[in-house]
Amino acid sequence: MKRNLSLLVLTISIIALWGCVGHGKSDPSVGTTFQFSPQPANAVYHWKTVFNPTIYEKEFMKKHDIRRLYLKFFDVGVDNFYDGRGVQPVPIATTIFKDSIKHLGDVEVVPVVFITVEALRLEQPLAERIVERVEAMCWAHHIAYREIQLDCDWTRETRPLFFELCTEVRSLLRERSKGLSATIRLHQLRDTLPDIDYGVLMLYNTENLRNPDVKNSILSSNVVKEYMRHVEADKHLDFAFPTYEWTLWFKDRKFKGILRPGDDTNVDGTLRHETSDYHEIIEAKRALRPSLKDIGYPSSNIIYHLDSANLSKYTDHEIAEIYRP
Amino acid sequence: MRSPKFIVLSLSLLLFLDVFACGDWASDAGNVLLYRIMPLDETDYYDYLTTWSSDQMLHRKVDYKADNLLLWQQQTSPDILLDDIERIVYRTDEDYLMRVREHPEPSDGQNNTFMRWILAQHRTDILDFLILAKQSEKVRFSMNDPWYYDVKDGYHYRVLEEVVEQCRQYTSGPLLGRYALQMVRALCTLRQYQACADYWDAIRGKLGNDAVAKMTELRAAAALYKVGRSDEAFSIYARHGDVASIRAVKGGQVGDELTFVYNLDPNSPYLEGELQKWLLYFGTYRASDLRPNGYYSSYEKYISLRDLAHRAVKEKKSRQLAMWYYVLAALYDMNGESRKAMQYLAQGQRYPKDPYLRDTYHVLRIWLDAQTSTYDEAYELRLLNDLRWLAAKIKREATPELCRKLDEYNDKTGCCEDGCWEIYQCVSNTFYWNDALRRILFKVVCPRMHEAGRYVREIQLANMAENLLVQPRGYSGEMFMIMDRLSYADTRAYYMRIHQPEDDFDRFLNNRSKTDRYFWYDVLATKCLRERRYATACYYLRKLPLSFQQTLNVYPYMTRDPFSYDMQIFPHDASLAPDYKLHFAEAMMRYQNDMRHHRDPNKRADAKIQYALGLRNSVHRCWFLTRHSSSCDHAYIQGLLPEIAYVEDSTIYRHKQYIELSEKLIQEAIRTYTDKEQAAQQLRRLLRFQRIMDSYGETATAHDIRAHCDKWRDYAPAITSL
Repeated sequence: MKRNLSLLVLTISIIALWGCVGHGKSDPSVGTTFQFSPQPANAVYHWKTVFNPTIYEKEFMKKHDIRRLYLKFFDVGVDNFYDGRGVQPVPIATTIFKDSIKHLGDVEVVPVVFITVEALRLEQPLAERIVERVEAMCWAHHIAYREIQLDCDWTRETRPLFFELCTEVRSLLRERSKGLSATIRLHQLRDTLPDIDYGVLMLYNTENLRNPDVKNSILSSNVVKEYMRHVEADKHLDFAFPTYEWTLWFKDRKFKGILRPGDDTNVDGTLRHETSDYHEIIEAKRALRPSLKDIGYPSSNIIYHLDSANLSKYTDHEIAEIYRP
Repeated sequence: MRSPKFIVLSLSLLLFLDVFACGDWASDAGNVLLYRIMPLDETDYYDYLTTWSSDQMLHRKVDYKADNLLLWQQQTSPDILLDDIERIVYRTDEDYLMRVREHPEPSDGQNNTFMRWILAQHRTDILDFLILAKQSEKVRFSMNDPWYYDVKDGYHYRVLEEVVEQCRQYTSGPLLGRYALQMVRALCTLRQYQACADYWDAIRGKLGNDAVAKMTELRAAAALYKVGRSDEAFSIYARHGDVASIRAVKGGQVGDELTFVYNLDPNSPYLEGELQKWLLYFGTYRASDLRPNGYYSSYEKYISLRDLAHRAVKEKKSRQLAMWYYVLAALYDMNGESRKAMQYLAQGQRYPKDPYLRDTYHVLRIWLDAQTSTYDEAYELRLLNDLRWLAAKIKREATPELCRKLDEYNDKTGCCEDGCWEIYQCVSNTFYWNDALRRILFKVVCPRMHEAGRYVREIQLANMAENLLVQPRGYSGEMFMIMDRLSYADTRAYYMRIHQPEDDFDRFLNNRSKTDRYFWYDVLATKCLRERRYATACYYLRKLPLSFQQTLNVYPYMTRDPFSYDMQIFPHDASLAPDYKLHFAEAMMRYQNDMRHHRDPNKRADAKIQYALGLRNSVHRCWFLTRHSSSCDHAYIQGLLPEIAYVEDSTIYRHKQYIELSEKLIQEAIRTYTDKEQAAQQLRRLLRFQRIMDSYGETATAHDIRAHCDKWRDYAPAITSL
């Protein structure tokens, strides 16, 4: 009886491992010799806690030949456990799947995990937990992933922690013949990049939204240009452009919060409405230093993010221009 | 989930207690929480009211681990140690068990009697079961991890499904109950609630009433609730006293929780802890708070609790009727209806009770007796017998740990300028029986003795209450509060009774009180100083050795000149400390004599001013001459223990009286001077410059002041003197 169960456990483990591996292209050179094979494509981020794309969003993906969806799976935050474990890193804001990925057709899904610096600072083991949880989610939702992307607003102080995490995650993924990418903020580009297969340069949130003197914190091509004067990249980069908008609330020159469309704007203080202006996007795109592009293979452009309310404000031509290599 | 009402009540209690925690709430006998139906962990007593963990402390944890170990022992061999069973069942990992199952080694049973028995008896069925249980446990544990992501057809589910299958195959045998438990656990985790309920229905008749069956039933209750059989589920939770599950599944929507559970099961173990919680809660109230629309808005809860208690004693469905009668008596007592409380307590006496409840019945009876009896000889005799019982119990049950704790507090006892932290201010509400004694005596018996003018008995009882368990070194406890309001004559009468007891009660109290001679000399002398009986004070003070004086809580302050002119700045002079009070008393006697009898009017005036200064300072910056701490402050006691705040004797009154008298004497002295220069010099020391300018403007003193002080430079000399 006991042997039956043990055998079962072993079998299931093998099946699970095979399942994870089997959904991607099998690579005979599993291990350190694994080479991530890039596939340039139009892509879009999905940054909501419920995956339930509208018809418009599905049509948008088809219309613009979007072949890759960077889908945020969960955040890694911190929580205090009162059972003696104390403050621990935990997954939060896990995306709920109300629609099936298969309804998107032939679209590659890249699981994205946002890691808070608070969780990083705990210096608790994270790599295996992240990879296993992503795999469990992929298994549950029949997602054949090729890579995982980590998103983190690391700074000089937390850089070593994030880099170590990337190294550990990449090692685990290489054993599974999977790749690792990471988002790269403009300020992070001034540093060397972590141990990843490629990065996605975020051309948004270019300035501090809390600063009352900033005109548009989402995207300023001038700021991008300024950054471009000093940066180099030692790894391939794709580029992500914003298509969102928001209203920022200030009172007495102090930032009070973000108002989303539909929020009550009758507040005490001043409001600053910010959009992702098409011309600014194109200007920022032009401002990209040539040496950052097409390192090793052609760079892809990514739109942040899949939201019909925002995307509907752009013409098909404008979207096509954003995606144009 | 707790009801909103409960949360509001708890928050208000927390706030209420917090307010007092910053002040004096925890420090007096008056607020000792008297009502008890179950023993509480005395070391954490305060936490019962101030922390959210009170549920865990008051409700017995539903935990069948100990019973389970015993069951294993019964199912195997009485020779097996429970610790060995515990190690194998709860702590050994799956890998070890698998290895023993596959390749047992001679050493495997060497250090564990349970494993030795299993191997000797070839009970591989037990090993198989334990391996299965541990695999199931491991998977279920990992499913509770926040990192777990629920994958219905994933690894975890498959393992549990196999567990279910194996359990299903075990249809008879000595481990049937244990497999049933694993089955129910696995099905619930798989969320196969209907299957679980069906299985429970099929298997329950085959299980006994042992610990494992109870654990299985509790787990099955979750499934029953999920499939809509909530009444059955609640009955199970109630029967086991599983408070957390009751609250969790109802999401706080149970209305009156006590009534809800009582209706389900009048013998639920939940009821005792919950009733105790409310007795502690309402025990902090004054009767005046328990009114409709009262300040704390708890009247409705109070009434519903009382209604339920009435119902319980009437229906007689509970096996703990004595407990319900106690609750009823306590509820009436806290509402100021002592006689009614006494009736219910008397009715409850006839029902069986455990030893603890029997003793708390006794305490409550003493308390109610003290409130309702006529203080005659019969009562005195009853009180003596009751105190004998209670004192013996206190001595018997005071653990070495408690005594050590009390000693530690005692060592830390110090004195601050306007109040001394006393040992009981730190530890009241820590040892129930002593707390109860103090509450009964300080709050009821002593005030009633005072009312009857029986001051000696009042001090005797206060002394015993304060000093029975440990003798505090400080001087600000309730005994001092009581004693400070009594005269020297009354206190002396008490002191005489220490040496000349008149009856058994005197002897009983003397034997349990603080009777130290020097201590009482100092108390009596201080009272004399307060009453200006300086000669008598000297009589006592001359007997006090320096070594004793140095133990006084106020000794560190005895560096201030008691005849200082300045009311604010007192230069410290350490040489004043030895025989401080004696020197003061002697000086006051001398000044008293001079101001009355000296031939020179200027000397008489000087003496009168010194006497006035001494009088003023003895109730002001040198307060330690006339009292031992601020404990005799009327307003302080009024807030702390109003029952013993006797206005007519308050030191505050004396304070005002002496300040006024001092001023009157100074005015008289100034008028007595025939030498204007001397008068002006005294006024200068008293900083009364205006008076000098008005009345003694032509004196050298006035000239000097004008020469050195701008304010008075242009002030014209007065035409007339005093």
